[in-house]
Amino acid sequence: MQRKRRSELLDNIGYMLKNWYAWHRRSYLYILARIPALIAVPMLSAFAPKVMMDSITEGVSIQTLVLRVALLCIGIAGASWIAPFMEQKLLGSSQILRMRYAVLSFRKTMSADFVDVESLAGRERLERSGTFVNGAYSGAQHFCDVVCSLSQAVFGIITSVVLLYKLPVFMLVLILVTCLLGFFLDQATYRADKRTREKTNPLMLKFNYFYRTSHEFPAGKDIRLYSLGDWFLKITADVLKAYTKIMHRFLRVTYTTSALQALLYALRDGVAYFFLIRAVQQGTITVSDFIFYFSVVAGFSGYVSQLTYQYNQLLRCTLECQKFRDYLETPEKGAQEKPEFPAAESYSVEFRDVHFRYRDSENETIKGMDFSVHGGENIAIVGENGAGKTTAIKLLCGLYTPTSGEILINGARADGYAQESYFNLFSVVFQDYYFLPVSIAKNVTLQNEEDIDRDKLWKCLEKAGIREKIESLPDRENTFMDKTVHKNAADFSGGEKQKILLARALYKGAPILILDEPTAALDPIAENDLYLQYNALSSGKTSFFISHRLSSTRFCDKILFLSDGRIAEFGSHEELMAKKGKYYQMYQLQSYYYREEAGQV
Amino acid sequence: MKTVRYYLKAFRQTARFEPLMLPCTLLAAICRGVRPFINVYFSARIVAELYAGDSSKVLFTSVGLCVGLNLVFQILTDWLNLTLQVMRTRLSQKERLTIENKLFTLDYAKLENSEFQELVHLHSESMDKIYSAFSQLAWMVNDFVSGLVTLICAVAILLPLFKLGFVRTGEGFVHSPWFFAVLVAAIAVSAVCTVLLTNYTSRVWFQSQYRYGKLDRLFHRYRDILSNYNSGKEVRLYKEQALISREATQQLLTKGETILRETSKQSAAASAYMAVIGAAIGFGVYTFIGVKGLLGLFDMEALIRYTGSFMQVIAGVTAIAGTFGRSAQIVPNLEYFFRIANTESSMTYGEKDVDLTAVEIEFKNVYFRYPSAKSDTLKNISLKIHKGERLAVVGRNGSGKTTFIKLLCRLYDADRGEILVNGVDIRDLSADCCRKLFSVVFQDFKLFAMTTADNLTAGETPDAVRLKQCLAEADILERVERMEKKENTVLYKDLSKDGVEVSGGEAQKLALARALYKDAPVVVLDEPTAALDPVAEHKIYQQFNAFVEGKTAIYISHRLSSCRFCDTIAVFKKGELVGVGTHDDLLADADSEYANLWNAQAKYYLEES
Repeated sequence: MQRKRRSELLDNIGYMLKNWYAWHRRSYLYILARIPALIAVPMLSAFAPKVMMDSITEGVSIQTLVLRVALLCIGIAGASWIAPFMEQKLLGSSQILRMRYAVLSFRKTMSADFVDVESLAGRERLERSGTFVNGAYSGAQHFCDVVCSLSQAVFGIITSVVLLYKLPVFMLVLILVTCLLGFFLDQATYRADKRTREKTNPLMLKFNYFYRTSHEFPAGKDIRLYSLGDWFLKITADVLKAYTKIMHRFLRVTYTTSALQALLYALRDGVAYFFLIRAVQQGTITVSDFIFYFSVVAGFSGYVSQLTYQYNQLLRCTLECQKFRDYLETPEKGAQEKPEFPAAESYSVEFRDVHFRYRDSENETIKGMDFSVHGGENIAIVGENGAGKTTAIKLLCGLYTPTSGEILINGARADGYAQESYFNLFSVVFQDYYFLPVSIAKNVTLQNEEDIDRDKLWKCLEKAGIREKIESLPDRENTFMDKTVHKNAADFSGGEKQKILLARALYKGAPILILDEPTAALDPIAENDLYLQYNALSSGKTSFFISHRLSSTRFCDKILFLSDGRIAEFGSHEELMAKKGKYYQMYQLQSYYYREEAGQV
Repeated sequence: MKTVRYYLKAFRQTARFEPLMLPCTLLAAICRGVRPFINVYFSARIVAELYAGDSSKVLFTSVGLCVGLNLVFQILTDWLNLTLQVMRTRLSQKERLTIENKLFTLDYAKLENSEFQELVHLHSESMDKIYSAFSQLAWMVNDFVSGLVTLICAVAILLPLFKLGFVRTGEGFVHSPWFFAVLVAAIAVSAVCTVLLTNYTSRVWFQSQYRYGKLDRLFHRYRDILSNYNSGKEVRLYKEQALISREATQQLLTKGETILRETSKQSAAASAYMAVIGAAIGFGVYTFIGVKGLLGLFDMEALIRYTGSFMQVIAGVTAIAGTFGRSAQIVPNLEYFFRIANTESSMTYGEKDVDLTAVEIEFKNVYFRYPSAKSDTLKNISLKIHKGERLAVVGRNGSGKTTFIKLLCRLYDADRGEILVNGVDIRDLSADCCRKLFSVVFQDFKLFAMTTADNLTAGETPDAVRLKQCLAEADILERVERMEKKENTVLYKDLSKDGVEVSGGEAQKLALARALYKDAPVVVLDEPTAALDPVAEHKIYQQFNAFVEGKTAIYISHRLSSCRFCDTIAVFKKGELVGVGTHDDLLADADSEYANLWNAQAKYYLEES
């Protein structure tokens, strides 16, 4: 276990160093220049009084003095030039590295198999990987700094020890022992810190949740009408109390360890000074040497705590890196070289004993589906919540692969063809939607500016019934969407958004059109408008219309009634009504209140 | 001036949040400022004693004092810093809590005001950047004071040099008072330069952060979109990868990388200038001290003290200069904070209570316009909702239905006209009474990441029987019983790994159960069945009468079938009430808005019968 962790540690350090080399190798030079400079600055400053004392004791001429001081100052100038210069350069490169990692993870999210993106395990992997690339202290950015500071501490300690060669060996051993003890005390503090964090993290999660909730303005209605505000504030105040209590306990631990550490270093300094004075008295070193060594000894504790701190930071970076790689290296089905899906006049769809089970779930969501649809037919899919309507659609589109059974389009299985070309067959409007922070035109066409077919765009907006609204906007189709990014972005109601999505589906113009609950946010007249246009929209296409409003079945050729992951009934409205089965019952339920005889209940 | 005013306000606020924060900060800063001089003083003294050949006893006393004082200061600063670290976190938490408190308790009308929302948005954005204005300010004070203390100590020690400086000690420039004058002038100039350069670097840094931040924000927005797993479907089916890749990352990789490189180059150059200035001054000072030392004008002890102190002058100036640049970020955040904290509710409540067992509501010529809107959202609404009446509110999207509800629940006050509850103006009711009046399920209702029981009872001890009954009436009891800890299972995964994700339809039913549990005399349901299938919808319809029994109920829905079991239907069109009556009354006029709406939907169901 120990060995495995060590090899993982080294492996991750290697991974980060390799990427660093690939993306910004010049910054290795920055580090090489920065470390000696960082160590030289305090050493040279400590050296200054010695030089002055020696010069005065020797009674040198003013020219010699000026020369010595000049040399020293050039040294200091050089070192204190290089150190911050390189620090800033490194800061820039570390930001670049973080950005590159972020882009890597971004691309992975786009290319990963949809099942991995959607599954709970996949989402958790993505979330965990985030710590590596989010914020200035994330592993990806901090790593440069850690490498630099860690090396500085190591070389600082080595240099100090070398410079102190005139001290008795016993003294050097003592110094190293105190270093080691200091290291362990630091480790104890970090462990306490980690334990405390484990306790405070859930508290902070809660605290942040309510803080975020307070910023969700629409939720303000429920919070006021159900008098939740005071209660939430009380929870938050309690969280703070609990936090303070935990932190007080933590403080008691760290007060002790820090005091012990201070004692340890005082002891070391005292003994070191004792030996330095003895050395002066015995004539081994001069008084001016003494003053130099005095500073070197005083600088020691700084290096030791730096070493411990940075070591722990390194562990953190590698741990975050591991999580990042877990996400990035999730296998993909891959884009193997496969032939394009053959084009045809129209596309038939057939499900043959299709079963499907979600990865995280024990039960099948789709429990054996058999049906076939001719090219150009309009199908309404109805059924209760959770009957598997949306899942069936995702299977059809190739976002999921059936656990068993097969789905045939024009008699051909999806997996024999390039995924890209299979996706080309479908225009889908899902229930949950989002828009990209780009112009309306780009959101509809999903093309780069220069590739947009404006005529077609306006035709699609027209057909989707949103042309007028877009024309009324100041920048028309070039108006931005997404207010969180673009201040002047347009606001749309839920119904309007659904119409823009419909326009997107039309612009794509794929031969199979699928609409999932497109009328949920529409008022009766807008709903009716869509129904009236539906035949024009779907002409020449195979189409699927999912809706809870059974009126949608009236302009479809056939109805697919799903129940509990199976096909309960399949046929035209008249057939299913005559059958007086499940569809009939459901239709009766919904139409009941629309019929004259319903009257007052 | 504005800066000073905000700082003073912020200090007062800090003292209120965390009374020991400022005293501890000052103490820590003084310790930090004084600390370096212990070694300067004692190393000089030990050297003097060594030269004088003093006894070991004297020497070791000095060493002991030096080590001892260092120990005391070390422990003191460590403890103070540890304490301050905790205080800083608490300070930032209280800062957030203050904002949270405001957002939770402010009038809803103020909360929904777009100017106020913009203010809150600006505040959050600057919080993301600086974490907490108050703890940043405490940091700044720490740096400034410790720099100042260091500077004062150093100058005090160097003071004797001033006397020496103005005495000519021999031939040549280095001996003349001019040399010293030039030196002092150079130090003064360099101090100013340091301040200017630090300011410049921080400005460059902010500017680039701003420019880079814009790209980064865009990139993050895309990442948020993509991290929401729901978006993955469209991204793949519509092959958005190329467009997203181009829009999100291309700029970041080219323009962003250039910005980062340029910034680091600029600030690197600036900090390098500071190093050179420091070294040049150092050269002058060392030469000066050396020359006077060679003449024996002071002893070795003084020499070491002078050289040591001089280094601290530079450290002090740099520390002080560093604080100036930071205020550019802190002040706007403070401004946002105080503006939010000082926003007050303007809605007033009366003392009156009404009989909650039977409630009658009347709108009398009510007009309402949203702030910053160009026209009235509600125009001259007059409507009486009788005790125990069931009212359906219908109309097209944007006709004012939801605004009507918001006025009814007193989330807003009418601009003109009045709303009477049992004959009492709603503005004269007590806040408590107002709250007890309504159970509402809004279209965009929100459930919270807590247990089902807590969500329903708002933290009160649940009445187990009634809880179950309400869950059963909302047709969600079975689902809740299936959860691992039943009604004590946490909803959503925000706060707990074991939290349960509920679907849109289930959430809607839970929100309905919450409204039932509240058991208010007026029940308002805004599109409660939008996410439900026909069977579930029918169940809710059937139970509707049972759970609004004896209550006044208001029902908004695009599924007009729901009008059939309501006593009265109110039809809204473009902010006006264009019809009130029963289904049959309203349908009698074939051209009415209601008839249009009804026929548009009903015709699909009627052909059969």
